[in-house]
Amino acid sequence: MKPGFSPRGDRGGRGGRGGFGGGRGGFGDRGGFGDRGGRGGFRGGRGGGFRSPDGGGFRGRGGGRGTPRGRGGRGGRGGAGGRGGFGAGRKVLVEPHRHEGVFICRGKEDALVTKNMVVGDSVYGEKRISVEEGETKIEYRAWNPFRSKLAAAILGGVDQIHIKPGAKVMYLGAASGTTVSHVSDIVGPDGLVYAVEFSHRSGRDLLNVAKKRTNIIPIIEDARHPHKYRMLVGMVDVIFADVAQPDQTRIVALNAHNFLKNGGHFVISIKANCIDSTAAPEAVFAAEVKKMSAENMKPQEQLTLEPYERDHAVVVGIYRPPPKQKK
Amino acid sequence: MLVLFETAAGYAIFKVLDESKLQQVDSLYKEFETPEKANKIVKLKHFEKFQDTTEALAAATALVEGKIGKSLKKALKKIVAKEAHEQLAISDAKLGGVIKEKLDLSCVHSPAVAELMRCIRSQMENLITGLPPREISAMSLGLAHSLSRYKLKFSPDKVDTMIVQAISLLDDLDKELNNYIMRCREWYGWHFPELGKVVTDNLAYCKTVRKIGDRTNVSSSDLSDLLPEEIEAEVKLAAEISMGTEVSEQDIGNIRHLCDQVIEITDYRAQLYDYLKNRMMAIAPNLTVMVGELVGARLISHAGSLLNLAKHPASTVQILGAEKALFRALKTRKDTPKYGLIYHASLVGQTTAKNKGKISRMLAAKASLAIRYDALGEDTNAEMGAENRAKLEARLRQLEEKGIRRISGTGKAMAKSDKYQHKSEVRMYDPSGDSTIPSTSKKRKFEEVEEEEEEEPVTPVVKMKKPKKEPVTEEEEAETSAAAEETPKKKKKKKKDKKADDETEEPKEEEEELAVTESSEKKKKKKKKKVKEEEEDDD
Amino acid sequence: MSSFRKALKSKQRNHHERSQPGFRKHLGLLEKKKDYKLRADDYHKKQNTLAALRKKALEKNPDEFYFNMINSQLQDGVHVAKKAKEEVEVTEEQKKVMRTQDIKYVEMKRVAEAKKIERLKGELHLLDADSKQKNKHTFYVDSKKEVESFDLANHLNTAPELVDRVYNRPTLKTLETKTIQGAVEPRSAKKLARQRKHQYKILSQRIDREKNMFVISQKIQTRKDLQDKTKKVKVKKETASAAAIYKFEAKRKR
Repeated sequence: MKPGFSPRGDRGGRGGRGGFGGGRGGFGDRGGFGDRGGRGGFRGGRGGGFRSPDGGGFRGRGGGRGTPRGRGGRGGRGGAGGRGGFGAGRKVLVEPHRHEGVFICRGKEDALVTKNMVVGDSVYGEKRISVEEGETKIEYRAWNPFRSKLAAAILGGVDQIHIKPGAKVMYLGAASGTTVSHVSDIVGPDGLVYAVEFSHRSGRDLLNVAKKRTNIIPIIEDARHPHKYRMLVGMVDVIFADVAQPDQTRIVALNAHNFLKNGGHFVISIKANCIDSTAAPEAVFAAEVKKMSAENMKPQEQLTLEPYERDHAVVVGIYRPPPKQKK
Repeated sequence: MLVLFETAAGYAIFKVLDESKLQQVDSLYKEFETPEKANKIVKLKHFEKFQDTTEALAAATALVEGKIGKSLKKALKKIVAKEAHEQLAISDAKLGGVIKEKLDLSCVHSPAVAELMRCIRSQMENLITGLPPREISAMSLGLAHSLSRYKLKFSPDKVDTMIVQAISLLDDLDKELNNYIMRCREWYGWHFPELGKVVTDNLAYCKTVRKIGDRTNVSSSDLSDLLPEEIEAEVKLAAEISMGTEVSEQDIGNIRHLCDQVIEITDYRAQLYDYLKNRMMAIAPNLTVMVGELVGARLISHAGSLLNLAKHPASTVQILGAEKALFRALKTRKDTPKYGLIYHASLVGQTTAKNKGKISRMLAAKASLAIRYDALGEDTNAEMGAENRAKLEARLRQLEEKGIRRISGTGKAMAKSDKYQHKSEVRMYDPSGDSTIPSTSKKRKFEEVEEEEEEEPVTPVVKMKKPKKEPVTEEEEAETSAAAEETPKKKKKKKKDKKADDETEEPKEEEEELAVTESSEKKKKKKKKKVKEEEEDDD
Repeated sequence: MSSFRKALKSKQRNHHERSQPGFRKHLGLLEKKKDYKLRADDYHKKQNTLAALRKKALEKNPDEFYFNMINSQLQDGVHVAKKAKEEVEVTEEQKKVMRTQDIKYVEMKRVAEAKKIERLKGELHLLDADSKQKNKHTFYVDSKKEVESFDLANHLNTAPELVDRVYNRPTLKTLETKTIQGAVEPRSAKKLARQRKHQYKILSQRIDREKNMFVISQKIQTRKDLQDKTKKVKVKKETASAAAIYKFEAKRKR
């Protein structure tokens, strides 16, 4: 049987997955390359495909796909015990995500994760998953999309978040620093996160997070007055805003004007209720996008955050785009 | 034109070389695309570096408030002397106004200036020479942290993890100390068992053991600084006739070493306790006043932190530490526990068993207010806690006095709940009923009558006022008085004579009198209290 | 005087009803007064009922209307209510809990369940759930022409097979340079998938349980509230999945 990517619809054809193909109580398993069956597909035509750490490709493994169901029984497993050996203790599978610095962790968990910068430390009680790769031990932290708009956007399939290792990020509406800690994980020691939060209550928590992560610069100020923290902030590559205020776009524009470099990007999370609770969410999003265009902020994509949030959207765009070269 | 540009490392003052470029706001950024180009437009004239973070913090706070800090003034004066005619570009219009007023420099703030600032910021690292980018980021990180701490009024004494650790250590020490002392008593008891009985105080025991060592030394050693005289004498007596076995020098040496340890740990414990007290007073003064430092610290350590504790409702604070009992009660549908850790608070401790639940509820309610005040309030005095404690104490007193709020001011209600005793009453004609003129209330009059009658030796009416104090004597008296009505006076006299003879009876009578005065005092207090309450109501 | 009478009576022999004489033994036990009383009362009751029914039948108005005429139906000679049973307001399971458990206990259990759900949700992110709501993804492009020639895989710079795999569509570059780490063997992957499925099952069960518990606690609370004497109007009927809603007259509590 030749391995190939089987599209989502033809589930019945995948014999190898039969053992657990019966749907998962309301969520169901869509499959994909996280599961063994689909992985071979990366190679098809493109010549790409993730390289396996132990040298071998996926070809050999693909052969197992046709195994009959019966093998799942006790006896069969006992016989195969000798074959396992390597990696028997491994509990998870970590695949790199489209966005650099973000990973998908599939084990008993099914989670979006970032590489923990401060090993052994949970910021807000999230789960930590460590993966041993030979000598090195890497720790990942689960990033809950039900609590973080950015995580929800990533899992929703956003094209670009522009937050990547080494980037300088301004985070407006940092709150207690839960998402900020993940952003700090992503940008790594070479990047910087300017976390702006006005509330003193959550500012305390933010400060505690920043104490352990030296790439977070906490700013307890109103994001409406960027001149108050102009001393602390240099030029940034990305502004992420989750302030849930009616004048959110104006706030972002103000900050962008002061601190966002030309051709820099913005990622804005919009909660329809906070802008106008009477209008339809779609209309609200459209109105906000229009406002952005007026401020020289050119939107590139918009994404709603179902199933993680209701009536939320994330808009990604570019600030002062470089003029187009005429051909 | 000059430009004032603030960074976390210091103030930079640039000179604009080509002012004509400023007019084209939209294309200004093109001039700043490379460091070389940028250097053609602006040139660093002066860089006023902050010496340390404290100076930077002062400058930053001044900047946030739109004032001129010391260092800024210094830097500006340097250019005032040289180029007073030049305009100064400023990124904050308010600050510009202040500079103009104080230093008489003409300031400009316009969209063009804002754009210029933006461009300078993008080329900051190249324009400000002699300052590695590492240092700038380090400075801005340090400054941001200290600025936020300043804004949030973080103080290092307010770290509650210290308390959590300290109280845990204190518990550990207590446990260990107890173990050591038990071991010590058992060990030395082999040699001199009587000492354990005679000296009950643990520390004194250890000190004594350390001093005397072998029990033969007791007679020769002076224990007066460790033990009271009579106990010392007892020890000396016991040492002579002790039934313990002999032990070697080595054994004694080891026991002594253990005693040293115990004494050392005890000292350390006392020191730690002092530290805990001080810390609690600093972190949660109101809570400390309400429940005491130990219970307060236990509460905090149980909840994890003061802030966590502040998030608990009063009902949770009340039973914090009794989770097991609570869940069991919920499951079996029994009564939930009345108190947890708070049981050890002095206010609950001094209450009678009947009122403990009530007081613990009230204390928890007030304590949780105090906790929130401590955790989230701005000021740090213990006034609020002390006030609440006084209130609770007042309420406690009231509860202990049977908990009846007497509005009418008579003892009728109290008397009702007394045990029934047969008593004969002499009814008297009340002349006040004859007159229709309203003079004083009937009740008052009754009291007056009572007082009159009180002068007679023993009358049943007086007894109503003194419930339960001395049941035995009262019964006797009741009997005698009841008898007195029927039998001639002789018997009464006899009794009187008896009393005079009996020495034991007399002090009791005095007590009675005392009791009477006490109750009257209480009445006064109550009246005062009422007035107080009214005042509070007015507030 | 009465005490004297009582004293006399104590000397008296108790009266006993006579029993069946020996020669009539074959007739069984002799009926006593109290037995007769029971029998007679029963007889009279039946007679009275019959008389009443008879009277009712005589006085019956043949034109009178009864709702039962239209609401019931003859089934094998028995009148059976026509309407199917109304929806159950309280399921047996709920009744059982409501009878035996305290609202506080239910609430405590619910909160515990909610906490567990929260924790599970923290690590189960519905990456490839089938039934999840689809989100909407809009791309902004500059010209109409670009709209026409828009190709998602191209735009996202990813393999076309991966376009539907929303939660992770690695770019071609990522595919080439990065590797999957951890348990990549087919056997362990399979095992993990099974475990994962189990976790999701647990999560959905917990969510259901929490919902049920919520309904139960609401129902208990409503019953408690109803004991209040204030005026109230029923707004919504009770169903198996929701407590009844009442509107209470606003009244200041002292």
